[in-house]
Amino acid sequence: MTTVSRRQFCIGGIALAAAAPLAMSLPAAAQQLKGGTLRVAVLSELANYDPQQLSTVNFHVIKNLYDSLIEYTPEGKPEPSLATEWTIAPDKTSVSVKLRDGVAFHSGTPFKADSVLATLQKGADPKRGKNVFSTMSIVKDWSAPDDRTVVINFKAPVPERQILDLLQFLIPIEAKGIDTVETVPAGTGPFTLVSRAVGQGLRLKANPNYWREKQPIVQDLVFTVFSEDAAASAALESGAVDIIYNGSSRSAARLKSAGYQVFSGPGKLVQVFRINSTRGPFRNKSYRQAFNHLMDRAGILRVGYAGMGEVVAQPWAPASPAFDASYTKAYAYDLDKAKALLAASGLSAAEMKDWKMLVNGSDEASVQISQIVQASLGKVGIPIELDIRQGAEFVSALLGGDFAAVFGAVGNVQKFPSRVTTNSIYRTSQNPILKDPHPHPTYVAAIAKVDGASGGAAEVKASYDNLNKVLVEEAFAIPTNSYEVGLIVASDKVAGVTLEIDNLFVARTIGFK
Amino acid sequence: MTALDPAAIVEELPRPLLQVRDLSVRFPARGEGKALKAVDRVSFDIGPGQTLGLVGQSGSGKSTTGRAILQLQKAHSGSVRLLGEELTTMSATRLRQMRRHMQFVLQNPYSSLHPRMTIGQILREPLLVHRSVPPARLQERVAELLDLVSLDPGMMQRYPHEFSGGQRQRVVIARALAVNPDFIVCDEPVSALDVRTQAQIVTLLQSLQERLGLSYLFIAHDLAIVREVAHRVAVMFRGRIVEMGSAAQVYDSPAHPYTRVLLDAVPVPDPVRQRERLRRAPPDLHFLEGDGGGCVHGTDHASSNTAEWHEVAAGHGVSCRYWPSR
Amino acid sequence: MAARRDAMSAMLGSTLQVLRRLSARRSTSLSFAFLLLVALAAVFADVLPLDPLTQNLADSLMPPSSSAWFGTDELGRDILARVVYGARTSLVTAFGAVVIAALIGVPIGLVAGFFGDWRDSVLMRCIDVLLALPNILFAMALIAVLGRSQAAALVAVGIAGIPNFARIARAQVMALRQLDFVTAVRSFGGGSSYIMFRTILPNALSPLVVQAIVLASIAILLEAALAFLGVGVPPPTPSWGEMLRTGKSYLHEAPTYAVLPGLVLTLTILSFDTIGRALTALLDRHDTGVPERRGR
Repeated sequence: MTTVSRRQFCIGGIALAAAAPLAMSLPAAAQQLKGGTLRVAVLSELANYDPQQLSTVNFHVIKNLYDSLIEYTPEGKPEPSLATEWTIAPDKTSVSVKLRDGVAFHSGTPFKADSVLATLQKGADPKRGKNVFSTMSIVKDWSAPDDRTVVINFKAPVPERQILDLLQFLIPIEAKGIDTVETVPAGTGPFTLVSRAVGQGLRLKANPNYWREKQPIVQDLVFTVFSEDAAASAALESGAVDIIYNGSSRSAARLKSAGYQVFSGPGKLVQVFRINSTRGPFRNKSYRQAFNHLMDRAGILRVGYAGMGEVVAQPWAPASPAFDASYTKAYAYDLDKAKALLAASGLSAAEMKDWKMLVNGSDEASVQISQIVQASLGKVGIPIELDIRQGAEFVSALLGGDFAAVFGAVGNVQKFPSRVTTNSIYRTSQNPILKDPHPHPTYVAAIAKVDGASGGAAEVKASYDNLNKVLVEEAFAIPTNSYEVGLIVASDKVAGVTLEIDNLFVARTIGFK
Repeated sequence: MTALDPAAIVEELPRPLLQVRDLSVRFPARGEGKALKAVDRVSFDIGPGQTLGLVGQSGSGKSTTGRAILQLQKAHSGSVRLLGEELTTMSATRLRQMRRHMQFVLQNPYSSLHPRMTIGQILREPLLVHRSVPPARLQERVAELLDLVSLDPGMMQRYPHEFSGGQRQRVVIARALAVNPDFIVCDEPVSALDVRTQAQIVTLLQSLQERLGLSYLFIAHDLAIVREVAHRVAVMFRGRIVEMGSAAQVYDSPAHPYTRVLLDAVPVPDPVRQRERLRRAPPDLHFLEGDGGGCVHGTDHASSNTAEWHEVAAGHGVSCRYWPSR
Repeated sequence: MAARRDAMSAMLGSTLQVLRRLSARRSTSLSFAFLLLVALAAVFADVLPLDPLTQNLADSLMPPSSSAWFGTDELGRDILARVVYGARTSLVTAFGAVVIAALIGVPIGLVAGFFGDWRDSVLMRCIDVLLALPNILFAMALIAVLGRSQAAALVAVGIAGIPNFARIARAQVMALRQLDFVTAVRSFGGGSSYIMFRTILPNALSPLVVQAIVLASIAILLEAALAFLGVGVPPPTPSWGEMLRTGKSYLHEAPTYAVLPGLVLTLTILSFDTIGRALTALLDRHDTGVPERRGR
């Protein structure tokens, strides 16, 4: 049991481009590392301490203040964490989880089944469940036969991968701290909160009672918030910080050539040109399909993301089981094909340009890649304007579906394919952009087919192929490229960086050489 | 001596063109002090073709009186009637129309002309404002006006700074005449000019009065010039008229001590008389306050409700205020 | 009509006179030359063989070369072309803003200073409120309401400039309204608006022209600042501030990207300031807008 739970993936100093990370046993590496104060530059202020708020702004603290029930290796292999073992019923309608003994919350309260039940309760509450809520939709009920066991029952047979995703998403919160978790962390994690200066940073210290042996390595963990990517780079270069977490790809590429270590996790995002197919010319299927060929993906990847990522025509990272490289070739940038599809649409020139492209003005890459698409559209005779909005104004337009077309990244692209529906544009019901009833029933059916494919490999493969075909035909979302998120750029004094499946920042294995 | 209403003094004159009654102007006090009575209950009439000379030291309220009559200065109380119309309560629009009957000639010909406009433009302004001349005749009328004040109409394109003081004052007078007024306030019209030019301008004003039948309120501190141009003279002291009569009456038999002081200050061309005058003891310049106190003629104005005014001869009156303290 | 023409020629005469005196200095004539260059570039941008919009993603972030004198930006566009077209954005914004500020600010100042009664109190309190708001915040708030466009930036910068004109105009009127030639116009029956616009304004013009030049440089800077903050003229329209904003991210890879537009912006503002200063000095010495008193 312990040998499995302690196995960690540690990629020290391996260059970013290395396709297959080297796996090594952690204790061997950890013993050579020294403690101290680890100083980390981050580019966003955290929203709160709630581990169910799985937003990128919180990614640097969740795995340091909390532990999840299970973890994934970067390759997607499940590993024990607070759950020592889990048993999925043969009919795939329930899972029984054994909880680790001898673990205590930061308050000193022993970790028992009650906290897992409270956490499930919160996750299932539409008001409090936040990002975990949609994952909880498969769950019927739960129970705790004893202090060390939790049983979760499902509404219907669920693919194994989806059950594991749920366990990985469940991060136990201390039962009595659950109502105040946004402001007071209540976890079992390797670090405890010392102080926070809003807008400036956060100071954590090692949890002396942490259950993983010899972890964390450093005694103090200090996060400093930088508003400018360039300022964070300068801080790293001047030695004021040891690590930059979640900086821009371009800075990472430059720092890498300057001799810094760059680590990119498996949890990529895919940039997607989202089309509101209920509006204007986008109601026309042929017009939408032209956009499959209007994306200069190579240019977008290079200009927007310093070439760090891959061009894709589907919302999957290469690690996804549904990934199919042939689509990238078939739907490459091709203005002639685009023109043919535009002509086939039967729309007038005036109709074709009757929309504006919403742009996230706060994100430099979005502004640039939107201009690339704007130029491509200009070349096929569709001059359109950019509607650039900042911050909250953009987010509300994006999530509220108040746009004709917009670039917006989607996550969960390396997991079970139907998880793509957690992203607003891909939602099959209550889609805030496309509304109900869903205007693309073939897509809804294709997702249902993927979810229902619990049979043999051929059936699963067929369901994935069908989904891919439907996605490019309906063309309400045009993926352009995958890119790195949660990039870690570290000085050469630092080693022991652990990559996390969702690219959360894991500090417990990091130490100084 | 009997106390008389000042209006009675002028009753024998032709129907007045301008009638000023109890005109007062006050300047608001700065901070805690009392409001300054710049002009205090001034009354007089001016008949058609007549000139009233208004004399007094600087600060006596002469200019303020002139401005108050022209409604360039708000009156505190009293009435100003021009051609029978009350000006103090008139609407702004009507007042602008009335201004074509009354004009203003200012003291300083250097500052009273717009420095960036040609003489022609300056003379055209009042014509345009009052639309008194059709546009086609503008040029002709401007030439006429220049001719009237004995200036070469060819000077129309020149700017004021190209002219001498006397020439400028002629332009100022021409501008005042542009709208064919009946009444002109001349506020120290010659005091900024040299002596020779002064005489020329005075002669011009007199000849214009004869030709056009103008009435003047001629404000000046130079008693000699006032005697030359004025039919009647009013002496102002501390905002009040202390003596008023025909030029001969006031100059030859001054009744108010202040008038005497004023006249004594004028140098006389006879060296013997001048020396004799300087040998005399200087007059007592401590004057009584304007309000309260007894009447020097023993009249109780408060109980008889009469003006503090006494006629010493027909058309020659004097105030019983501001007599020297004894 | 004729009165308006008279007033106009009076204004024009004094302005030309000042310009002639100004060009005698070396620093100001250099500034004039530079601004003339910028203005010509802005006017004749279409004639020049420059294309600010065409992307060439393969040749992005190139250093200055014979084909692209200022290098290329992250989308492979010619930076020189964008600087030239950016001059148009800057100057149009500056000119429009000054016109708006003058058209609103000068009448406010004239009325406030001329009447000096409750109208003065009310108007100047409004101006004080406007003045108390930081220009940039006010402009950003306005753009948030109007949406992001060149017109919005222009209006925002223009409104931010209103207090400058209002205060100068008011001070001028208060100095001029008691002068004899103003009294003269009033005495022959000139109405308030006639006196304000035909009599006083032409004489208050010189300091207002100086103010217009000062405000033009402020407007260019403010427009650049708005673009730098990402709320200016929307891309792909070239703007110096927008180039600075994007270019600063590439300071390591392509330092000329931000530096050259920044240099042009700095020189433009410096030129405006130099001329403004020289003009102020000149007017203080020769012509305060109040007629000289001679011959006394």
